[in-house]
Amino acid sequence: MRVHNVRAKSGAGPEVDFCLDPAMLGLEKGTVRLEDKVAEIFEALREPVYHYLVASFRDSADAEEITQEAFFRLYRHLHSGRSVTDARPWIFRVAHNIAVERLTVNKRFTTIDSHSWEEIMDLLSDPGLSPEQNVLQVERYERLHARLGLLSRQQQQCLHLRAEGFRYKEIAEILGIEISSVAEFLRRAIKKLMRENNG
Amino acid sequence: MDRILNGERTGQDGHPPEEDLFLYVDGELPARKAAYMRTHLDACWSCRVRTEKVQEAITSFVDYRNRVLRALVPSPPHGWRDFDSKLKTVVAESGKRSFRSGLRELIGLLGKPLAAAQAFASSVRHAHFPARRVVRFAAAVLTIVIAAALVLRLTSVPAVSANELLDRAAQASADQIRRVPQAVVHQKLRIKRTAPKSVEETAGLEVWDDKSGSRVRDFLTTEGENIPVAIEGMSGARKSSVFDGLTSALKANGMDYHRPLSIGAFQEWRNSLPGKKESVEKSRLSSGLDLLTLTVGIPDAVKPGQISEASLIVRARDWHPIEQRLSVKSTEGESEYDVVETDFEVLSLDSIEARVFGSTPAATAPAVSRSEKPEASPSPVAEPSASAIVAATPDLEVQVLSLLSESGADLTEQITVDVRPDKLLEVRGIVETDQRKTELLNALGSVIHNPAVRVDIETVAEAVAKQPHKGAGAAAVPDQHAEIANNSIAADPELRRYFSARGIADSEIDDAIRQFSRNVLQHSQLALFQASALRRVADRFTDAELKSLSSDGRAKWLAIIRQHAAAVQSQTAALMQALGPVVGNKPAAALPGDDALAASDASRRDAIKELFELANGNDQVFRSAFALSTGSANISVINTPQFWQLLVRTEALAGSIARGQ
Repeated sequence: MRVHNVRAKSGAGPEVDFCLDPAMLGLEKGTVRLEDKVAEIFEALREPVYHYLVASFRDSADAEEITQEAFFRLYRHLHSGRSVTDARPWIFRVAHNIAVERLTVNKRFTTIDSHSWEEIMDLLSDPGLSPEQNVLQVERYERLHARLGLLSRQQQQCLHLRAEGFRYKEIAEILGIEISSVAEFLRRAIKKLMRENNG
Repeated sequence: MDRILNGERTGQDGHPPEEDLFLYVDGELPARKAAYMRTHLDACWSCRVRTEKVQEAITSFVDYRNRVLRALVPSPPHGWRDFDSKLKTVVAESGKRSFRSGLRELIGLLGKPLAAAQAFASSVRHAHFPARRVVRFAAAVLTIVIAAALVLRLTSVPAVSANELLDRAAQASADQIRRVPQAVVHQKLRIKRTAPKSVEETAGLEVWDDKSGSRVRDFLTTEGENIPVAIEGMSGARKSSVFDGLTSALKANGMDYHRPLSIGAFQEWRNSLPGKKESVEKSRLSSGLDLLTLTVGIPDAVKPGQISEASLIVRARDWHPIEQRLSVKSTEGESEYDVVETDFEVLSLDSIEARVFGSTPAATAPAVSRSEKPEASPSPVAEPSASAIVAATPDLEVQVLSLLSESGADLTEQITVDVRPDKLLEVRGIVETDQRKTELLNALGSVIHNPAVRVDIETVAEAVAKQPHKGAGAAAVPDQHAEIANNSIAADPELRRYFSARGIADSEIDDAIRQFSRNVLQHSQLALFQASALRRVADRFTDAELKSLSSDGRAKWLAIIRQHAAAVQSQTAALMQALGPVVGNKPAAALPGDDALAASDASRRDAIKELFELANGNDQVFRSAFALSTGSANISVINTPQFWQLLVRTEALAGSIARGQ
């Protein structure tokens, strides 16, 4: 099976090759250790996967453990001789599925207490804006936050995955839904956000 | 109207359907349709505006996600630090061949010998009759031997290192606990002691380990029975001496004596040893159960009471620890303690009788005394009495207050720290979320195992779940609400003038006033919370108790005071900074400090009392000026010189307390 080289920049680190065909990686020749490769991909993808899990399932303790478990499964998958065309959607899909199995689904965006908002807004205060503009920006963030809390879980998941750079086809594979469903979820989510922008 | 889509599906009035617009903006429209869309948008303003609005919404979300949501997501609780060790375990496990691959290999190995055997058998068919029987018998024996070797090879327990064994056991334990809400680990243990010049003795122990509440209760049980019984009045001290001896040994070696068989305690103890020798051995019971035994030897252990060797035995199939053995040096040689688990379960706290973790006195509770002669030195296992081993000291109290203060738990949350009649220090409270509960329990990590401390923190949900359900006929609470008499705040005119002079558009002034008011009230409230926490800390100890503090304890106490005082100063300064331009006052220079504060604890206490009264009074003024009221609006006093002086005095006094020695 021909596999194409998938390289991507993730974060500020060096380019990481997410194509995991043992033959191409040189594993059979012993030039690359599989665990080193998995560890390299872990460094590149752990934060995006973790953030996605926390944003979607609101459980940071389990999110860390699930993120790691997804990479352990990647190792076992590759060790059994199978290949992965693109590790990014693969990892997200596995992490998502583990989370669905393990975590409760009742949590949505919770309201933030005023103390937390104050701290965050202090951090985000833009010196380039006037105090009044900062105040208005804070209020926009608050409204957006509230509106996001009204989206369905799948709408939120689609938004986060799209913002992570996945195409509709990849999002559909990750979530186990149809591409048309992805398009519909995103359209409805963005329409709701448009209502916020337009007042 | 433009039919530019040339027969493609269109929405109303010849414009493309909304779905296609979204797909186009998101780059997901097929190439042909996208080309038609571009042509349409070149000519159609309204559709172009629609796509821009979609793009704006996407931009808003991405901006919010990158700036706000990232800040909201907490860091991974363990900082990824155990990934490498776990990956190594996965690698080690994956090195074991699967049954199928092993079978394939064996068949391959057998290929040539089998072929040779077949050829030989074929030649034997033509040989003399008795020789044929011998050959067939030999072939059968060979086949059996090879099959047995295959089974042994494929089912043998892989070798693991000490680190891997402990990590896997800890992980398995954590997984078990995680599956049960408000998990309580219940163990039944049999403790056997073999000491030089002494007969073998046994004792039973029941351990209830509340993981979510971070508390442990131990009960001694009589031999042969698994119900907790009081043993006061029983003759002889030997029945409890086994447990006393084990407890002493664990304590002397820094192990958790409340949890005599615990992977976490063993791991912690083992990791703390500088020089040790370790080995992992495999074994199998007659029942077929595979076991792994980690033995840790300390060659330099020579003092009586020191552990010279400890072994932890886990089940190979699920890494569960089932036995711990200790060799403890004594003046007469070595005593051996063998702690064997006879029963284990993980339960939910809701399913456990309240008496297990109840705080009723030892006389009425099923808790058990370690001694049969209470008049000698009563020391109940579950609730040590005041006259026995442990009692909270002012230093310990200060330490707990300091830890809570660093976590911000002494401001708005319902957390109390009290010394009980039995002289134990109890930290009780209710917090909003599981995450906050975990944060606080972690913050108290250095004291939570202190025998003089009891921690009982639960979430609102847990507290509500414990309340008895109200019957269907319970009267509904009448809906009460206050009617807001005014829609504006007392300081509205001043703020409106201020923002108008700054060039804020009329349509935005109301929002600006609301935000400004909210900020002022938040600063004021925080200043009051800090002043209130400061006062509670200051009033907590008598002069005599303060004098009894160690130098370290006193330093901690003063640090808490300074931290709260500095926070009051900071919040007050922020208020003055914000209000100054509004009311036309510039922040005045700080008043000279009150040097008398450094003189005595009494003068410090008086100053703190004054600071609290100032903060309280200021907050009431701010509320009357910046909050919607239920009565008639009060005339704002915020721009009077008298009030401004009060703010200046508040800030100066807080600063003096913060600097005081």
